[in-house]
Amino acid sequence: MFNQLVYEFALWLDAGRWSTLLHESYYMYSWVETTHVLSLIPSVGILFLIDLRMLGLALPQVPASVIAGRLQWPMFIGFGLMVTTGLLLFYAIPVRSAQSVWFRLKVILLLGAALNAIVFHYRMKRSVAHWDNAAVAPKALRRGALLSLLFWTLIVICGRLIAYDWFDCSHGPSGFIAVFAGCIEGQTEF
Amino acid sequence: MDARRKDQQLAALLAAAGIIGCALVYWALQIQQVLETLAMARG
Amino acid sequence: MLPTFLNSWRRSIATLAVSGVALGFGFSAWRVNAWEALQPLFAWMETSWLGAIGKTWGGVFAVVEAMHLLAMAMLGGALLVSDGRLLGWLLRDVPVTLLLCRAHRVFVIGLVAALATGMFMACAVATKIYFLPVFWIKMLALAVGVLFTFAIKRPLLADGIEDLHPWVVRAVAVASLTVWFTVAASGRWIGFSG
Repeated sequence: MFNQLVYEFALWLDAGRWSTLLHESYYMYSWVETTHVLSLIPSVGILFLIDLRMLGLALPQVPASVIAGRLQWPMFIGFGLMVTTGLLLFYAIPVRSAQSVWFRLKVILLLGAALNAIVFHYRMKRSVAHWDNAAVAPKALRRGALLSLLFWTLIVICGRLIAYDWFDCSHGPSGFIAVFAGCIEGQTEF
Repeated sequence: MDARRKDQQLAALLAAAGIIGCALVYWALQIQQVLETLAMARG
Repeated sequence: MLPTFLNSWRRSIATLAVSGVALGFGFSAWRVNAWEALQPLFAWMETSWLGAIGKTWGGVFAVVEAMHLLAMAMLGGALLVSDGRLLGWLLRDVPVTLLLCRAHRVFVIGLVAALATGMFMACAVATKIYFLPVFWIKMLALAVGVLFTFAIKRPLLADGIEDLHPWVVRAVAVASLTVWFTVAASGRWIGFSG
């Protein structure tokens, strides 16, 4: 089953030497985490500016394609940092992270945000010539921008909640939570 | 450029340079502390 | 608009004074006296209803903290775009004055949201942060950042940058990025302490 596979994969990662080194290092984990949080600025910070432009709430007199186009690369660098540090954080504490309801929710939301971004990108490419200088983007794109704001707000909340252990497998949750978190009956490693 | 604008520019430069200077000192002290701690940890 | 007696020199000196305080203050007995005077305030903060909510429901605190991070992202994003433009890195074909003015609005909203969420969180953990040096560093850096942004940077750049020496513009942009980075980094450090 999926949960069993994920658990075994996490155990395999956990056995790695670098995983332990990263987790137990005096500074490394903190720096990776700090970079992850501060990378919110070049990634989500720039994305929010783009979304707010589409909604007509920020930088309205700048053509939308200029905002989206010129800020794309700094934003991708920001997201690159986020993904790299995120993967390292997962790798440092693989079992607990893999079995965290908040982490799983965060991954689902990340997939949703990515899908939303792809759809948005193609819709915008097709239509932007018609409305570039308008203060507000067409309805479908505004929906995409609003969804983006919503997704990322929830993603950051879930990310923050990973640290809280209310639903951890080591506390023996039951029912839906146990299944969603992927707790394995009788597991000894957490 | 009028005198007021020249003043404003110079004052801004002073403030910016001061801030950058203070920040450099602060971060240098932080880095020094980190290096010391790491050296101690290595024993 | 600031009153005329607060001319550029006095504002710069005031900003530098706060900036210097962050360093010099840290090494004198004077800081202890000022700090002790604030103790009753922090004790009260923790017992206020804001503090009570934050302490009782960890979930509420966490969500507010997430909002604090999003506000930081907004504020930082606006700064990246403004200071990036001033340094000639980003959005070079957008007029400077327009971009700075518009980005400043986003910055202000982010800052207000960060201050509001920050105050909520401060109440919940008031006694802990009172004893944390890095919290005071962050507050001083924040004061420097606010003073510099509103009293020096914005008035200087609001009427256009064409008549300004390019190095002055660069210095202002770098100072802005530096001080706000320090606020963000020391803020994160608070989370690691205590």
